[in-house]
Amino acid sequence: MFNQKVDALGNPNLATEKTFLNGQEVSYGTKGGVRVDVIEYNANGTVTVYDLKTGSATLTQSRITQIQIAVNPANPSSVTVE
Amino acid sequence: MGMDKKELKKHIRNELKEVCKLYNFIPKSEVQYLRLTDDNVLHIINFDLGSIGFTCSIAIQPLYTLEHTNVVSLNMGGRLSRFKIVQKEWWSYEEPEKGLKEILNLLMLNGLPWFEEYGTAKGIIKFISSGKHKEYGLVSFDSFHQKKYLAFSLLFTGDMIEGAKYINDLIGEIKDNAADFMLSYKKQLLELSNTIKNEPEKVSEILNTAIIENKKSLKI
Repeated sequence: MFNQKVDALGNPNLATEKTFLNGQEVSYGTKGGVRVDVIEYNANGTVTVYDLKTGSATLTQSRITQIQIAVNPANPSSVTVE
Repeated sequence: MGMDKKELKKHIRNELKEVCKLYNFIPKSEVQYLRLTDDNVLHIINFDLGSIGFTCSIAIQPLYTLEHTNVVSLNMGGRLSRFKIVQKEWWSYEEPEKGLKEILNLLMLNGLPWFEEYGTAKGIIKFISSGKHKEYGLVSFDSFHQKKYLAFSLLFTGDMIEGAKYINDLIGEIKDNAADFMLSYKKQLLELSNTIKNEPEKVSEILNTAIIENKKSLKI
């Protein structure tokens, strides 16, 4: 699995399977929370979220916005979703 | 085939019984354990059963802060596998006993002492203002939460001047493109900033109301 490969890298700036709600990191299963596959914390305070898709599925704008608001609603443009 | 998640949750609950008894944590669920200090700071132990394994986070959350969303927040903290150390984030479902033993060891070694040293209003001020979060490797403790917890902890301990400074810094973190609920929160912070300036005697009442509301929302 991709997450296992990321975990094996041992990079402290990369985390897998975290859940966010309105900018708060919350416990898995929290109502309304958004679970992200991989999140990278960049040195300049921005973050990059890798939202994995299988087959022909694509990343929609509504999903990008949903992730941005979940991770950093104070400054959504600081969150890049790939 | 490893232990299934339901079985693992039971196992966690059993293993945490002793921790709860000795250190006054209360199970909020099978995977979340909470302790509230006299100055209304929440200490959190939170297990996460993911797709590739399980892990455990620890976090500190002051309840005297004005919140836009009332949840148990893991922002000031981290996974024990990435807390003062760097190793694989997840423990395997194939060896749950081994994983839980390692997690409990890390909890004793790095988690509980951190709660003791920094899990109070004064401790939070010390931790954030001295940049300790970098030393502890808390990469997900973002500047928004640092400023929020620092500002409200300063106000809670009666330091209106420094508290006001960080409330203003916090306001600056909320950009024009913020979500609507954050813009409402910004207004609330601006009102607080005015109160600190013009009616500082009312601040403690505002923080006490926040404590009551947060406790009620979190059902603790």
